[in-house]
Amino acid sequence: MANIATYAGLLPGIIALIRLKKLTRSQRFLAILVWGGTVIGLLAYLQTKLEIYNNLYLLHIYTVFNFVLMGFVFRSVIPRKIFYPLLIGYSAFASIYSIWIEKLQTMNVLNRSISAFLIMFFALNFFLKTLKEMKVQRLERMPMFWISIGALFYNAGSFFIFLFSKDITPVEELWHTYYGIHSTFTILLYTFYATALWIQPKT
Amino acid sequence: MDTAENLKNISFQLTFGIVGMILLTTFIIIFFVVYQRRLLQQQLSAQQVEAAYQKELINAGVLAQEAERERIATELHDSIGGLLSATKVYVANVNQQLAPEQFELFKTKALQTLNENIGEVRTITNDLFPQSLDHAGLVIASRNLMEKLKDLKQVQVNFHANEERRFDKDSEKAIFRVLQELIHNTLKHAEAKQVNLDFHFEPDRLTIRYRDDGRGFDRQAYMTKKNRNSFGLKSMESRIAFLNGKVNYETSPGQGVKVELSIPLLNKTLESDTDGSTD
Repeated sequence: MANIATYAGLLPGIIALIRLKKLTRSQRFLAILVWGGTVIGLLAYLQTKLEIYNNLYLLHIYTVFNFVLMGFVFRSVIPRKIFYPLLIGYSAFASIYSIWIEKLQTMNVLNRSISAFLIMFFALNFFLKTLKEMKVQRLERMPMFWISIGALFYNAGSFFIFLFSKDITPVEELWHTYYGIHSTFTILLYTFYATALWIQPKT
Repeated sequence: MDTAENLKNISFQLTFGIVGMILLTTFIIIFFVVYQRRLLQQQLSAQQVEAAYQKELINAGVLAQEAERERIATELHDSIGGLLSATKVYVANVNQQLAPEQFELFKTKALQTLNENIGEVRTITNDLFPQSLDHAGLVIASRNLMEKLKDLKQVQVNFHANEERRFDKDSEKAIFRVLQELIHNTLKHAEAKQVNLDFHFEPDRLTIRYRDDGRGFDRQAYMTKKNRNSFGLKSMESRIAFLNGKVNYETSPGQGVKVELSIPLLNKTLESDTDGSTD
């Protein structure tokens, strides 16, 4: 499952490449996120193969990268006044916390949990805005709908895994179980991303 | 033992948390999709109702126009047509071989019917478009209309206007037609003893209240049974809707008819006589 999750980003990545010229602004940010995530995943895999076992610093980088790009994907539903302060504030806080407090060689419990919480908030805000405006006739033809579902499922499902990651890492049995669950959510997330990148937006 | 217990706790909390979050997310997404669909459906039904209403109003407008043409044709045929035929007979009989008394009689009769013709034409044109509406405006023309009603049916008429303000002629005509229709209905069906008409001008709005104490009717049943005559009411709504106004029609059997027309007058006022009210 974990191996499949490593390559799960390839499908939306290829779709993004095929449809590159037709992608909307949000879809382009999602494409960057997917490709960036896949590259980081492959780097982590490569390091394991090279027997460099502690590649957790990549997770710290990915957490900030993921949050910033999700911010741009959901830009239309984030109040303008807080958009840049939120992105810059989170990135600065996460970097400082990762480097000096949690350390790059350990799991980034707090940063990932905060990031997951905020991304869930973005997705819920999208649902709320869509309900308020009532402009969308066909939800299934709207990439943001699929992105929001994916983001909500992945982050809601993984939130407790992030929160308890320091406790479960040392216990191999637990680690394998929940890493497997997390991988399932990752595959689900990339499937939703692939759908979001495949469809041509229509209201 | 403690560690095993601790791990069990963590595992339980994690599983519980994950399952809870997934259930919550599923619920939120299902709620969102269902609610959004339902709202859309409501929006669509409201649009359909509005479209049907607009179609009805247009139909009513067309039917009203047809009825008006029919009425004019009948009036022309019954009054002008008859009188002109009589005139033709008199004129055809006038020739130089006639005895002077007979010649004089036919001439007098021909002139008499011609005069009647002129009178009829005046009445019809005045009914179609009263000169007072053009010259003096809606308030005066409506007052004259009410006076006519008083003379015709011996009903008690109360007329009041807080101003005699003029506004654009098309709107005045449309409102006048509505008042004509209301009075026509009162005359034809209501058997009313008292009719009230009140004009209330505000800076940007005109409110007209019309009331008779006649028989009234069940409006709901009247409008829903595809009654051909119901287009009279719909044509009123159509005219007022065209002016972006609103009609509030209240009636029930034995309770008379109460109609309130509310018409926006933004940038429509031509001249104003705000000296006082007209009773």
